[in-house]
Amino acid sequence: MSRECKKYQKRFVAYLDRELCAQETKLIAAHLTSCTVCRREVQELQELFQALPALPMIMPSERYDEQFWQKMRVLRQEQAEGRAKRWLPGLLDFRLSRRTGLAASGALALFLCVVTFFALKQNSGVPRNELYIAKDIELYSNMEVIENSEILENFEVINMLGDLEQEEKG
Amino acid sequence: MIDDPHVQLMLRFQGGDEGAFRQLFEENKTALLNFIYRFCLDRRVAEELSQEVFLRVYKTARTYRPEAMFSTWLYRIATNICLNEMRSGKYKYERELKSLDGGDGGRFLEAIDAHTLVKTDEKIAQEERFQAVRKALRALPEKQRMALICSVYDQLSYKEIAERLGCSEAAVKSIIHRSKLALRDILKKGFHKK
Repeated sequence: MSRECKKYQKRFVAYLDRELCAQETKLIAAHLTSCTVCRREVQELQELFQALPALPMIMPSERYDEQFWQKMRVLRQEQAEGRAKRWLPGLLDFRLSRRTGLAASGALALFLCVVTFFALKQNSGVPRNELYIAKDIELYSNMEVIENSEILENFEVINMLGDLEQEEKG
Repeated sequence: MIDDPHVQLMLRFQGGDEGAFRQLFEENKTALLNFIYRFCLDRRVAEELSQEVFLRVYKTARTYRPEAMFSTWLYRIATNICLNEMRSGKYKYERELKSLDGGDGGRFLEAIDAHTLVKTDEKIAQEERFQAVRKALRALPEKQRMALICSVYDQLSYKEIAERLGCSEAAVKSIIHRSKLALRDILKKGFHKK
């Protein structure tokens, strides 16, 4: 077998599949007219490709459908059982188990702690001067009350007011 | 939206229409069975695996997305099942195939022998060639065999085969090319042995 033959033989499949460019196809066709070995090689490949699609087609056997739907019934049953297994015991555990209750309360407590923490954090985020203003306002209002209470605690005034009241009644 | 009646059926099934699944099964079972049969070359195994494919369709219907033709999705499942099952050795068909004593292949050969007397030389030669091709196909590596089946029997384009096998078009081209050369070599060796 010549070097040329070896070079072309690598391309025979592509040649038969008509995947080569026009120039390459021409070269191989020219080689095949002059080389008996390569011609036989191409002929063998051609026969093989022709024989390939001729494998017989089969039809499903008589029991094919029956077997399949039987498998489907089993599958559906398994799926239904699987669903029940996944959900029902979970619900029962939630109602009955003490451990689940403890875990839930723990989770709730943790949640509340987290919420409180963030709420406090948010408050601390208020600028300091605004906090002072708020405190001052509170102080002023308290001062007013204190001033009034001082008036009320002045017994001289209270007595005088009492005498005046009695005089008016008399 | 993809214009494929089987995609519409699959979407209907996804929405809870069991009748749509039944129709999908009826309309695809023979083609799918033959696709798998050409891969494993054993009727019993092909029937089991094709049923397994439809069961997988039923189980995974929820996750189905109509991104391509229904057949692309179906045969992708079939390809995966075939390759996985054969690799797992569940069906152990390789040993059977090498001996060709039992299974479908054996019965087929016996049937040919029984009818040899009434057949012409041409027919005998043709059947011998088919048997040789069957044996050679079985001897091919799985991916090469799958690609070749898609190309020769289902007459799919490289792009469609690439979608089915989950690889690039260039890879498919190379796989098919190699599979044909390998097939030729296997057949040559077989004939030399004779």
